Amino acid sequence: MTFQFAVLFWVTTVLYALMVAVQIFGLVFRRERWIELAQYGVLVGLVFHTVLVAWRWAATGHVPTIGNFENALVGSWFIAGMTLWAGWKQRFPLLAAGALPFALLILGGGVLSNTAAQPMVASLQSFWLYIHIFFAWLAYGAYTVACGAGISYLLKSRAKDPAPTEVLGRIDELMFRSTVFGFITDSVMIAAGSIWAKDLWGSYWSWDPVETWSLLSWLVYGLALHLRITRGWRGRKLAWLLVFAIIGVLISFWGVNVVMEGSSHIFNVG
Amino acid sequence: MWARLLYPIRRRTPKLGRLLGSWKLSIVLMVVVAFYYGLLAVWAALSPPDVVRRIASLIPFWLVYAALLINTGVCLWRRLPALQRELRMEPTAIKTPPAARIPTAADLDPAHAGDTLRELGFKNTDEVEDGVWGVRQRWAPLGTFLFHGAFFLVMAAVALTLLARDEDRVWVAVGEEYSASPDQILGRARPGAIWIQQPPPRFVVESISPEFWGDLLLFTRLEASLMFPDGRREVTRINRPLWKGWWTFLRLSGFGYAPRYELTDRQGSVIESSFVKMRVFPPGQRDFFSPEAFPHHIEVEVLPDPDLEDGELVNRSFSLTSPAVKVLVSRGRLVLGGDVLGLGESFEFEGLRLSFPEIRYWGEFAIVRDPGAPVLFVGFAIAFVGLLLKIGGGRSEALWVPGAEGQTGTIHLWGPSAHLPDGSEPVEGAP
Repeated sequence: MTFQFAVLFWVTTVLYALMVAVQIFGLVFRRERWIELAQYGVLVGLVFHTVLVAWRWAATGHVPTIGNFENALVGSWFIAGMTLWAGWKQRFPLLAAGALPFALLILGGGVLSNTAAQPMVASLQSFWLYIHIFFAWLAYGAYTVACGAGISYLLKSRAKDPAPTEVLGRIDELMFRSTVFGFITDSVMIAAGSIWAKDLWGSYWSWDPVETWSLLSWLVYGLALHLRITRGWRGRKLAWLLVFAIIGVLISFWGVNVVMEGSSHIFNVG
Repeated sequence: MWARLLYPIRRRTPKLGRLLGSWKLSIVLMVVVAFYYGLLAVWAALSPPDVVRRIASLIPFWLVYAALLINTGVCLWRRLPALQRELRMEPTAIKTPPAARIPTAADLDPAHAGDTLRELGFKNTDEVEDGVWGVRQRWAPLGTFLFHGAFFLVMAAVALTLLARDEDRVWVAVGEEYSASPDQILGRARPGAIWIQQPPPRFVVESISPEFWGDLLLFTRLEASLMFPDGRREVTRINRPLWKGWWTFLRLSGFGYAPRYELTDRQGSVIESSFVKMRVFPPGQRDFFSPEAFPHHIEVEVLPDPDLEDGELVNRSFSLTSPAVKVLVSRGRLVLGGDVLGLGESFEFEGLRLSFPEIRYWGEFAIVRDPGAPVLFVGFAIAFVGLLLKIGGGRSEALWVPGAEGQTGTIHLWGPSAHLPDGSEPVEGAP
């Protein structure tokens, strides 16, 4: 990481953190305008973040996918981008306060690991890599948005001073649609990973810790969808489930490699 | 008599069908699988993948998978008539209360009502008794059906793999032919399990090309060029296997050095010469061999790109540019000496001269026969098509009903609230 890159990285991270703080301030002190303005701050942060991703791409000569740092950089970019987009589309700027802390957590974890550029090793030079990780980022981004919406729902629906039903309805719909989108992309991610694993390791499933956690996460989100569609789980119940379900995603993306060794998944490098 | 005997079964069948095809059972089973996977995930943190793999194949897992498949199958079976109606373009939702309404102009006629519905996204429209009916996301229910149906193929694939997967590991040096003779096979996973035979591929290794990143042990390329008996030349890479039939594939999974040793007498006549495939990669690793006709033990270390640095022999890179071989010769417990030999240089001991005229690469190839793999990929493809059909959301229907003379007409809407068009008024108490 060059000095200039590091400066831009920290500016972006601090900007995100600041905007989350501003939104929480706006929520607590009922300053709606502050919450909306913070969304523009997140947009500026996302522009910087995009520059960082492009910079890293140009510097290494490959899509930033190698090692914890690059995965954190791009993974958090997807989270920030999808949070911003969903917040805009659903007219719900407070979403950033719920979802961006996860991007900050991932960025923090990434920068603590080895940030030196790694080559695109032979085993990763595969079309399936891009499919696998692109859909992984989409899925994790969508799940984070769902979790962020869940946190916002829980805050906005407190018994003392609940938000209007129309607002809660929109957040509820956002939780559901993000989960559906995440589940679809997660399914594609697992299938693509399995095909790639067959090419690389000769077996399409080997119960690697990352595989096991990914399957568990996929199943939990599948369960959330079934509960919503068939048992009518909405509102706070679904919100709590989505808030807890993100734990599986965080563990499979990040925790497995921090806590345990022996995973063949390459974001281990670094 | 038979009718009387079968009566209790027939009487209970609808109940059993309702239980097996119930949503509650689906959720209970999914919770059970999630619990199992939770335990497995914790286990994965403490044990190597082999142990986890064995645990994941235990009977409780299969029982719950079987129950899930039965549940899914019964659900799909019970849903089939409704699916057929939906795909036949029949209004199915209009018997239930609508979710929202949109008032329309009083002078709207049926011909233009169809256009209005199409503008709202209900592309398939039809005139019905009450007015004009339209549907959006007509194929979405089929998507759900295909996605869940694909689980049967995925589970069949997993079962096939567990029953019939077979993997041979072979080491073949550059220039050598692999003819599938048993003495060439180093290891076989699940020997004798194949019940769907396919002839093993035969090939000659023409070249193996590793490339490294700087002086680090990171491959930026590892590929082997193979010549097959039909004269075709194909390249396999570490992550790109060659398919040799429906479920047989050949993959390069590693490589090493194969030095050719030569033992000559003092007159220079060659007594023995052979390639030995050794585990001496990465540099620093030592392996040994024993000549066929002599009792010596020859320990070998290959330096692919040696250099002298402050009088010390070091290795500059992993590329086999001007290799040297570090040897140590012993007989029984008696160490006879050793040296660092460039290609063609020799070391003399007990009337013999040992030299290494060339070093080639050998490749480790895995020949995998897995009848489950193609079934799995078909399952994935079907599931993917199902997801594509679902990606636009659930099916929704609209019905335009003309108003009485001079009155405004109404478009009634059914379906997911997220897909209701702008300007629609939600109906009080709608689902």
